[in-house]
Amino acid sequence: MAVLLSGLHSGPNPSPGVGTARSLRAAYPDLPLVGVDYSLGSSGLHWPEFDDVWVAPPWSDLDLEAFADDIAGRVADGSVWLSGLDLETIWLASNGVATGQVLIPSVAALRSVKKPAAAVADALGLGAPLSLPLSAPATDLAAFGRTRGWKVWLKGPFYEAQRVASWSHLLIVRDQMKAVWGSDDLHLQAHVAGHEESVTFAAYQGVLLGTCAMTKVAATGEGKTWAGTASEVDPDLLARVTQFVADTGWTGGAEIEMVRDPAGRLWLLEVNPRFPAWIHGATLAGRNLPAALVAAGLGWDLPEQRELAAANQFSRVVVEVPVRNGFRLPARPEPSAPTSGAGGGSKHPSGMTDLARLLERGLTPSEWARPQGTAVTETAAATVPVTADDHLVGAALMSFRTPATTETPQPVLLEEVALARLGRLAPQLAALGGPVSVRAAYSIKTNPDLRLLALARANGFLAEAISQLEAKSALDVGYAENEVVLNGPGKWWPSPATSGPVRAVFCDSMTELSALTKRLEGGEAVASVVGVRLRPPGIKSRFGVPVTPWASFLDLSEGLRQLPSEVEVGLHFHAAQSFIGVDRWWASFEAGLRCAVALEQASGRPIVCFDVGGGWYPEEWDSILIPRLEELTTRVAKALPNCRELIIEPGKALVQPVVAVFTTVLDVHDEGDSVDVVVDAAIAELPDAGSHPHRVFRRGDGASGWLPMGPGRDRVLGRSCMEHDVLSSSVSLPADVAVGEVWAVADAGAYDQSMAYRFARGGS
Amino acid sequence: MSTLTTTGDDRDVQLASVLELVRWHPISDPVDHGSACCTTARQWLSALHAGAVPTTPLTGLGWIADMYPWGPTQWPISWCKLVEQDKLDCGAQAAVAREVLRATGSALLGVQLLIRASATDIAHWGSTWRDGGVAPTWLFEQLYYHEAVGLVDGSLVVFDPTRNWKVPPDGRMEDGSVAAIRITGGDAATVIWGRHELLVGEWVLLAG
Repeated sequence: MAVLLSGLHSGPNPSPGVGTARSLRAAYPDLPLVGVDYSLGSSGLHWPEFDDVWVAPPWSDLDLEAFADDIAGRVADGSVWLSGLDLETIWLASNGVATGQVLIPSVAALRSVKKPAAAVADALGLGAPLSLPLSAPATDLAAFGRTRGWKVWLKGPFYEAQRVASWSHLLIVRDQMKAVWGSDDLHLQAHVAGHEESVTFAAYQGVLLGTCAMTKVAATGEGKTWAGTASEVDPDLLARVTQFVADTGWTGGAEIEMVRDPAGRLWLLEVNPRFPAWIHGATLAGRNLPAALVAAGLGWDLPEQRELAAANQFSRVVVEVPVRNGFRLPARPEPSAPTSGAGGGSKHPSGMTDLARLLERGLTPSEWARPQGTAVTETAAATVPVTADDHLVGAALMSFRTPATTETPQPVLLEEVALARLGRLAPQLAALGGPVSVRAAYSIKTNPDLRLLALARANGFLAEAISQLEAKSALDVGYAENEVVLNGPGKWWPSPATSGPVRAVFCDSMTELSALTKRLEGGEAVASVVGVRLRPPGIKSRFGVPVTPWASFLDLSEGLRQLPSEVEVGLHFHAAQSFIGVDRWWASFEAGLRCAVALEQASGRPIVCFDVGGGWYPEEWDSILIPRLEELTTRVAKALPNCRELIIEPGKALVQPVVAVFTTVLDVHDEGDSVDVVVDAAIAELPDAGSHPHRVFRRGDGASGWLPMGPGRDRVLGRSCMEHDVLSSSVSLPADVAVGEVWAVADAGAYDQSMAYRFARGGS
Repeated sequence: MSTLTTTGDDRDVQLASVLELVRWHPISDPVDHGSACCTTARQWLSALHAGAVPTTPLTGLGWIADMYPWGPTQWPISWCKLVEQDKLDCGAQAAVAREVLRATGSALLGVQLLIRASATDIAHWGSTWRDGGVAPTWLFEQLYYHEAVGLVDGSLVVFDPTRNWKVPPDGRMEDGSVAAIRITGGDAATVIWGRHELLVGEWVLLAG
């Protein structure tokens, strides 16, 4: 009779086998312990407290039926098996291997904790971080990330979570995780800032045997516990864990991984159906949970569970041990060989990537692999801003000539969408009222189409230019000079286009402010309002005048003070919401506003104009900023009582949906599990394709009109020979797609237009 | 007026003598000139804190020690001079924290601590202070004087801006242990800190 312990690797991302063995040895010095793993790369094989080890073949080589029989034979003498590997646990449970002798949860219990585990979070009284399956539309996934400033994780169905920093990064990580785990069952999860805590427990047939809480004090680079403080579980959580164990009939060890946010609320990260690798830390504190589990499994008296003192801390140390006799370290792979599988260089020496692929292929009950947690998905979906003017884009496409006669690739202005988006803003601003007049400024750089510029003027927009050429465009469509706002570092390039004073100039540096002051002192009527673009505290940017350290702030206040008295003073604030997220944008706005208050005080110059820059996506603009516009205006009015005008610059928020690029299918490649389509548009016509998902529309039959393609793993590739010329890698292409079809790539109305270039078109 | 009370063994003679020395020591409070110079400085500090994206009253304060690492400060100091410094001592850092948190409307308290530390650490800090041209009057043989801020959220939370962490009620610090604590300010006569009930305005000894 022995205890067989699987999952022995003891590295930066360790399995619990060694810690479990140490705990059992502490309780039962004579109990035979057999370590089990699936490659010689598992370092814990050499831990001296194992009486014997069993290195099974890699999962990819195993005859699983024979292996199940082998396990049954090994435990037939009354031995028990403690699995330290999540996927092995799932395989054992779902195949009914040696039931009774294998101390693991049932399939139903395991299913209840499958990620994302919203239901169990609720049962445990914990918050569930919002998550969205990767099968959601690309526009929703991007909005989910953007609204959180890309503080999100991409999580696998069993193992691994990676932070993703942008839409393009998400696509890269998605492909990497798919390659490693062979699964599309991934989900995005919102990051919860806070300190990590865990609760581990042992249970047998629905009876809780013992628990231990642990606060993580130090972690490895992979976020795994290196040191921690063991303590009693909070009584309320303990009651809920007890109930959860009873409800699921849980048998085995488990770890509830959580984050405590700054407000003190606990959020569930995941429930692992095995002991954690730090389990011996609990034993050192007085809670030997592996011993309790084995005792229960073998029908022995349960060991005493001591009351924990207030602070039982433990730390790991690196220890060298001799390699076990008869077990050589694995041969090193040649430098060019991949290291993703089992072996010495592998991140997963217990072969979990191989087993994941086996599970994915349906070796377990089919319902196991299905996405779960619908409630979470619906909740998360409700937080994703609605894609801007979806119905309008489809309708607007109908007004164009039949696809067969449309020259492609060709950008087309969707006038109905433009009219709707620009036209609805003016009355929204007019309705605000209050002491501060709110004006929108059209960002010419975002889309310099004169039709849009004229439409903006007709709807009461000011014109925001970052060069004299852009200023001239504004004048050409009828803007008066006092309706032009100059911004950016190159606003005077290439030569003056305006003769009278423009409405406002916001300098991008102290050098520029100094030079402009001299021009004003020389009698040049440059602008009615002069100021600077602030670089708000906490924002890294190459633009604007820094307000930290204090000396820089004083320089700036002195520069404003020295502006001629006949010129009024304004300040410009810009932070890209699409990059920093919604919460941080509001914090930066508040910081910028408080800087303005301090500058008004320090310089003695009233701030009469406050300009809030763009960087909002259409979805967040429509659903988040517009509803809070009154709050924003009120805040400015209260903080800056001398302020007469608040300028807002919607930029891409207004124009991104107003252009679609018609394109023709040139080729269709069947890539096995996905389809690649090559179209005659390319990154030349859609240079912003990588920064955000573009909806791809296809004309349906008859009255169905133009409809966006659904989410999937098929790709739309550009015509060029550049590897990165990928226009979309998140669509589900229709089965009957054919060469010669004309599609419309939407959401191309912002920088796709202003930054389009000539490429792969032959001579100039 | 503060009086000496104890909740544990008053076994440390040195502690008693140090308590006599700090008995009348108020929390560090920069001078405000009552003019634009100091008003601006305080507004500027408030702006910096807003940019740190505070989600609760005691989060986002790490910028204080990032911008003004812990070091000697010559007292008295005004707000308009404080913002010019490269380094700030714990009293100045705590004053900045109180200043920027004041805007949140939180009930903030001053927190004074006497912390046991090794003679080696104390000698090292003394040298650093003297090299900075400031007398290390906050250092004693095996104790040092420290300032933090307090927030009552049901019970007292003591936040140390110097280290950007909360001081645990058991008083165990990375570099020592809290020997005594005094809370100042607020309307309540007592506050609860872990298992301690602290009389506001009085030094309270911690056992251990």
